[in-house]
Amino acid sequence: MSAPLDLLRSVPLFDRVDDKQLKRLGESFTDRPFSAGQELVTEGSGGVGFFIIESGQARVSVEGEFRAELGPGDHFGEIALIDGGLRTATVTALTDGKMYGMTSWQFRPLVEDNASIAWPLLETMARRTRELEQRDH
Amino acid sequence: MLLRKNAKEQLLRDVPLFSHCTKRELAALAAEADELELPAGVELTREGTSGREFVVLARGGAKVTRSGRVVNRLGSGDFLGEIALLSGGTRTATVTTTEPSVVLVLTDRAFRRVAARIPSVNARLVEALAERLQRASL
Repeated sequence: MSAPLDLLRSVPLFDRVDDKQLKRLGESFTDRPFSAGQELVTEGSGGVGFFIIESGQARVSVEGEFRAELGPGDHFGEIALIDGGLRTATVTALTDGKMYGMTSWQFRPLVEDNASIAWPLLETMARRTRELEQRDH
Repeated sequence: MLLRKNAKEQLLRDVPLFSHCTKRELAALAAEADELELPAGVELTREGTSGREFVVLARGGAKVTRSGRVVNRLGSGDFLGEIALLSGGTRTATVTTTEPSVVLVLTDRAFRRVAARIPSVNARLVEALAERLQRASL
């Protein structure tokens, strides 16, 4: 089942992607129910996916240390989506819930074939890179 | 000295960003890009100023400085200028050639035409930006 439009709209990476293209992106997502205690992604593993939580709560930890709590509308893995790198954190479900996920091998062809998805992504990434790099100085 | 058309296409082919381009795409790209031969010590961008060109360092080397501090070095095949071009602000760093170099320059309009016509370039750019974003967020 594809991801609902309003859920995708809440993802900053997709800020500038218009609704038509967002709908196309949404079709590449699949829903994944999860249960309390389940490890959704594991630090150091090569899981290549991007996930948006629709319902339920989860916690993010790095080397066993608590970092953040995630709830409906929160997302993780957007960099892994693009570069396929290793997971930098573990995400564990605290409650039962549902998330939507897309893998990088689903995402890549969408970007490669579709300038109207790629360009707004690039604009958003450039803006964030600028903000982050300037914060360091 | 202007490069002959084939030489320009060969330069472009050696740039990883364009390595997936077909012959026809390379020819279109060569028609859009201006090539310049520069000595060492030339400022390609200056931090804080406006500028919308996308620059590919086809041959040579350059240093990237921010607030006077060297933060990166670029070599043959690297590119610069994408942040100001994509996000519409000022240059985030000063880039200065450190040796005689050959650069290919695309205006922002030419760059948009290239990106619209050659999807593989977009995918490469998204990857390159993701890496930079990840480094910046560490």
